[in-house]
Amino acid sequence: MLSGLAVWLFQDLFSVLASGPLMVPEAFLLLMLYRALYRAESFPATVWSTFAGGVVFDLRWVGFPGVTSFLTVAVLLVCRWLWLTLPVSGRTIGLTAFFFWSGQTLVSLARLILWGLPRMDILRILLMQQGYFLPVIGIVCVFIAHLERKQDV
Amino acid sequence: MRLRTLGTDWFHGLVALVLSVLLLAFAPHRELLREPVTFVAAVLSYPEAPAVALGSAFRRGTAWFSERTTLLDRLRFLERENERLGLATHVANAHVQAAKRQLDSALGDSQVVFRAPHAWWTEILIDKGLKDGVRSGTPVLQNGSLVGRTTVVENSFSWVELVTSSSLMVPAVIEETRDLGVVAGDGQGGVWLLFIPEGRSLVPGMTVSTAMISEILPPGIPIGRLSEQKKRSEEGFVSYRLETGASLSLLYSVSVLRPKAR
Repeated sequence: MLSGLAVWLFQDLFSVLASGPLMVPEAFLLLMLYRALYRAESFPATVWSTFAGGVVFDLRWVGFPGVTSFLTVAVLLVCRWLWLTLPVSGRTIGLTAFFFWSGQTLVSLARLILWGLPRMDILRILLMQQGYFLPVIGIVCVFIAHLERKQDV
Repeated sequence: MRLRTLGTDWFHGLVALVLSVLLLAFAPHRELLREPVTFVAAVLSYPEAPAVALGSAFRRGTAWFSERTTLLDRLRFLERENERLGLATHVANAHVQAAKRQLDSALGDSQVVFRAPHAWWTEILIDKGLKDGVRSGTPVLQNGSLVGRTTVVENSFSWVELVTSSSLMVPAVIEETRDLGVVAGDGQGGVWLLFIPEGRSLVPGMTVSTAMISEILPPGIPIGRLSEQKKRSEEGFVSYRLETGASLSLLYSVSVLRPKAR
């Protein structure tokens, strides 16, 4: 839980520095997705952490409490369901990266639409976001692969 | 066993989703959300303080580098104006000095801590409240021009209704002609001077300030200048769009004109 709080604060501080959350990677969502996929035993705690983090994030940045919590919990449930339907051999780091990317892009897209931006601006910001979302996801996935390999040994 | 675990997981997930939807039902009621938003902003203001300081320093630095030429031009202009004001001050020394001292002690800088996207042109939350001498109805300025006025004031935070809000009506006067009208926003970023009778010889660039007849704001606070955009109503009035002195789309910090200045 402490790691969740720390990552949430990290994302919040970056949002302050960037004068808004639009251009900041969803670090908290990535952590929660990681826990949902790789730490199955604590899934209920992960769900409620995601919910609480989303509500507080909405109260701080969006003004619509429930939007982020709904989207992030839904992403968590769908990703976990897809993950569990696959055989263990299919649960690769590449699939994790895809879940991270799609979850993050979906939440960002919803936030941009909610912000009331014109369609072209949404497209432009989404493309700009990919420029650093992808490297962040890459680094996080390399770290996860390293962590999981160490635990398997 | 696995199915049972999956069932429990789904149960927690679905309850969280339902709670989120219930919370969303409160979203249209902005007044109900004010207290929780203020509370979250108050709690987070402590860990966010270094990032706020760093962010404003970075913005100042960026502005300094990228707008150096503009700043130098502005500096020259201000130096000339300062010379003229200095001369004027000597002429009308006593009154001007007293007013300047009063204004200096009454203007307090404040950071914008929250601006909801669905109420972007309606209200902002600032980090000054009752303990800083802010009261309900206190004028809020940026670049010396009116941004709005405080509505709900709490101990450390205040909600400010913006001039772009369609519900804030400010009696105003055109300085050059003394024509009276009402300034109101259109809720979409535009600010308009309403109810000017047709046939008045007004030209773009004329200055609009708060009027003496206003009960909610002190007179003489600059709001903006008349732009070329105008529209006529069937009742024989003309509305002029204003170019506001404050940069309302980029509000990071504002000044609060505390009541003792009035």
